[in-house]
Amino acid sequence: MMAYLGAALASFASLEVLIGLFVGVVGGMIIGIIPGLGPSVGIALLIPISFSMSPTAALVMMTAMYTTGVYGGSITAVLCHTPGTAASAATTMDGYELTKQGHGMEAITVVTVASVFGGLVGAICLILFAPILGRISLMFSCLEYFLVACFGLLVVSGLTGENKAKGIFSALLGLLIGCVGMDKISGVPRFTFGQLWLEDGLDSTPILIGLFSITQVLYLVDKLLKGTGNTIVDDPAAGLQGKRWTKGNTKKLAPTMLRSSVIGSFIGFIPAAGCSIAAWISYSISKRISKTPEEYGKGSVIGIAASEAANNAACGGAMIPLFTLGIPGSPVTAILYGAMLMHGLQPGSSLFKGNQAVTTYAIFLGFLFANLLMGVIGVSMAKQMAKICLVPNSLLCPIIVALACIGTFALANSMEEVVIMLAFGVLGYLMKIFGFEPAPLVLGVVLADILEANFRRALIMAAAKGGLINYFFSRPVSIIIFIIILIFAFAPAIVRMIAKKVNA
Amino acid sequence: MNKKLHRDVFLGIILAVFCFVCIYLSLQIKGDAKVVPTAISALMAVCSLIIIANGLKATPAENGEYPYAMKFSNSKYAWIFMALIVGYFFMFKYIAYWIATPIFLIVSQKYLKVKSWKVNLLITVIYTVLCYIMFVIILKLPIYRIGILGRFFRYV
Amino acid sequence: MKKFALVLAAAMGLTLAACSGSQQAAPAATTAAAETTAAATEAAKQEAAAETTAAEAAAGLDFPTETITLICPFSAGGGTDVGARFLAESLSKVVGQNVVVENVTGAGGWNAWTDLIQGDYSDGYTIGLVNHNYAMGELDPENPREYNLDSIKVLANQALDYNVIALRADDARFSDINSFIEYAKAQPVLISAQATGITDGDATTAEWFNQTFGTQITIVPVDGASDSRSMFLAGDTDVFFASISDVQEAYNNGEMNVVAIFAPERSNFIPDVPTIKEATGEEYFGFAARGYFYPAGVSDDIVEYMTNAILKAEEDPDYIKNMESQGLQLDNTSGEAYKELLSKQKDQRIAIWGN
Repeated sequence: MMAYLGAALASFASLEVLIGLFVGVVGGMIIGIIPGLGPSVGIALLIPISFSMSPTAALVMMTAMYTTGVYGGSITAVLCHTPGTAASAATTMDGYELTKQGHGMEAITVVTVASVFGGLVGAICLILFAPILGRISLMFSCLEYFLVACFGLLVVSGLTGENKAKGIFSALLGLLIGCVGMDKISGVPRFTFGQLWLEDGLDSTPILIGLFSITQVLYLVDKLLKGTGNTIVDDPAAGLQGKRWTKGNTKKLAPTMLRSSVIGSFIGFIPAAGCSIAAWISYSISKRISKTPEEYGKGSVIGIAASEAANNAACGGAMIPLFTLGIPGSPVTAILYGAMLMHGLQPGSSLFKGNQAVTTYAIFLGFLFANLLMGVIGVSMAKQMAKICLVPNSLLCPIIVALACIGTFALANSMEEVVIMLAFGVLGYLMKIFGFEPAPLVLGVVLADILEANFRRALIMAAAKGGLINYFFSRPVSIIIFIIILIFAFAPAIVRMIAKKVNA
Repeated sequence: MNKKLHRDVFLGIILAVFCFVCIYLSLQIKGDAKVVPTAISALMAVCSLIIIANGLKATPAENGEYPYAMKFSNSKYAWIFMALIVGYFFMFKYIAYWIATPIFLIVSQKYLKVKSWKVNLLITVIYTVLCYIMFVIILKLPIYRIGILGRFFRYV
Repeated sequence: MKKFALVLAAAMGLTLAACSGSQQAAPAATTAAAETTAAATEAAKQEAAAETTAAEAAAGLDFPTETITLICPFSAGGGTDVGARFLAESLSKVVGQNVVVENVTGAGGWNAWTDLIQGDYSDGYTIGLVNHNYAMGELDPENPREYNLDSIKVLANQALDYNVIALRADDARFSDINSFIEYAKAQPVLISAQATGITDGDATTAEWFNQTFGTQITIVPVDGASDSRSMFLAGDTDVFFASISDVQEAYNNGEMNVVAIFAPERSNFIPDVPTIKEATGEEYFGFAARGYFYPAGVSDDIVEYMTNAILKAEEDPDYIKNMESQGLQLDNTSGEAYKELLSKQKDQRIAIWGN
């Protein structure tokens, strides 16, 4: 492997590869920042452009765009309450609060450092362990995906906010929306009302943009015209406050970043679960084991670090099953799979031997360099980027709307997505008035698919092998995940019971 | 004194009605595919009943009013702006993005009280040009397919 | 080799002569056109070159004078999209205009197909991509589509990928097709497919097995071909119906045991694999086809021009090299023969499923 790494490093002497890396990083940040576009759309749009490039340059460009796209989405999440992808939805809550208080620069720096850390951990897993871990991902099948999604659903309790009933209602509504479309198992149309464009269901991205961006625009406009403030920051006269990195942040955040990176890499590695699920699970676990959970949602840098480290680590993790077995670890890697085939890289053990191994390791190194480059750009430009929160909303809001419309159109080259986004913008504002949290709804939409389809598939597979209970007990990974779910669900209650007994 | 009900009560009732409609629609689905939507709708109905119950339990502040953070009736600017956005959407869909967007940017900036015409027009022009370069020239999105006048903005 | 070339040339001549709608030429054209060899392409090249010059001269068409758009109903990077982009490059050399590819995805391709049929595209500047699933749309029991092969004018095919059946090389329970069939008769075996009814090729193959041999093959519906492959590799499903490109690498390094191909003849990519008829005595064809079409409103001379242009573009050596590097099997059935090829598969499925 070391020999391959040496040769792979040499491929970066090529101008084409360096340009690919740079375009991927900068392009990824721009695409992440535009609401509606995200790494999946960005990479899909790059595929035709990469047609004439060498495989190394093309794939380095696209994997760079993957990690920086997720990062770029978090920048706007923090500054404008506009997550670029669902992976940044958890960061939005805490990051935006910090920006409002004028600490936008620090928030961006934390996002950057955590993302880079997570990305590096993901890259290291990829480089060192990919072939070994590859086979392990085969142990995950439908029942395991279902259980992981259940765990994801459980995580909703960390995002429901004050009113549990309303939060759970949001999540259930999200699940129901996820049921719209052709049923994957029996082919029956559900809630499509005869409309062709509903057959594939509602994509989570327009819903996310509507609930988070459009709603926020409406809220800011209302605030502006009522005379209570024309900037995102609560007190524009005070300007940007604080330094990029307050003293003691390193010590405070290091354990969180490490833990979240490991969680993120692992969840990214599980096929079907992507960066967004990794971010939410990491955020929720961090909140669950924190000594000060009430800080979360009000500007906790630990929360930001947890979510960001996980979502970038998941990018690296998701590429492991992609390269070793051709199984996409996340929705974005499914698009990368097509790109790989197009450039003649057939996933499998042959990618790690001989000539192709140099290309493969060059791509992994490219992913690592992309994370570093992203960090350099992010930290040096943190102040400039943070200044956006000082721009008057009267200029910012129309631009956000116009960008969101074109970005959402770009998702599938159709106006229907824009309609969905606007409808959810209205719904989001109503939810805000009446006290419903939007994050559980998005989580529900993302998880609905994985939950139901995989459970029914598992039932079919179990029927051929003697029933669900027997099938469950024959699969060690399922048992492990189930135990983790039980621990996560009941640990706080058990800890409290024990504490009471001890004190009594 | 007439005890006013917390708005959650009315909200809960509307949500409960919505849930029953969903349950009905879910039962219309053929075969196994109806199980999950029906179960979800039923759970939602339970949640809405809990919301109603919580609303009934809520006690008003001393002056008989509830401390709502935001009110429906109080957000008229938001709804007007939403109407602007919807108008923009229809212009985008039926005329063309590159005509609808400058109009929307100019009108909405004016509505949001941008005093200087210079700034207004500058932002509009810069945004439109940058977007065109990015989305049409570099990314080759088929935006020209939208709207009657869309095809005049195709770049080949 | 030469004999194949002569047969193919004759078939192509017959096909073009039969453009008025006769059905007899079609079976011969289908069988011969299904096998692609370099020599066959050579002969076709001469034929088609002559035809194109003749067509251009005869028509005196003022077409095309601006950019042509290929609408791909599937997402960028996928097999269909890649084939379209390769063809766009070579086609633009033939017609002398820019040819661009646009992706209009959704509803399994029906978003694009419906738009092309309902919209106003009769000027001939927009070409659609069609695949074998198009013809099955009207047979979907849950969601029958309004349009079928009569609503469009097919131009030419691009790739024809026959399906194979593969077993895991280390599977202790069966090692060839006959032992598999015996095992599957005794207990249920699992296979993954993208849907469970007449609209899906793999589901139909499974149904054919069950009807012909009495096996108990049960279907697990999955999202896509890569899910199928991973479930098979993981041991969750027992057998794998796939296209040749899906199994090529595993076949080469011995991970998979490809036991039969559902084609009239063996394939050059996997020459050791017998046809299903050779292996079991029963005949069945399963394939994936991808080609091009015009909406019905386009005039016949434009249709003829474009058919010839596409055929000419398909002989471009760069195009052939690119397609083969993707493992895509080339095919250039065109016109009525192509419509017949797609219809045949539909008829076969109707016969199996009984509606």
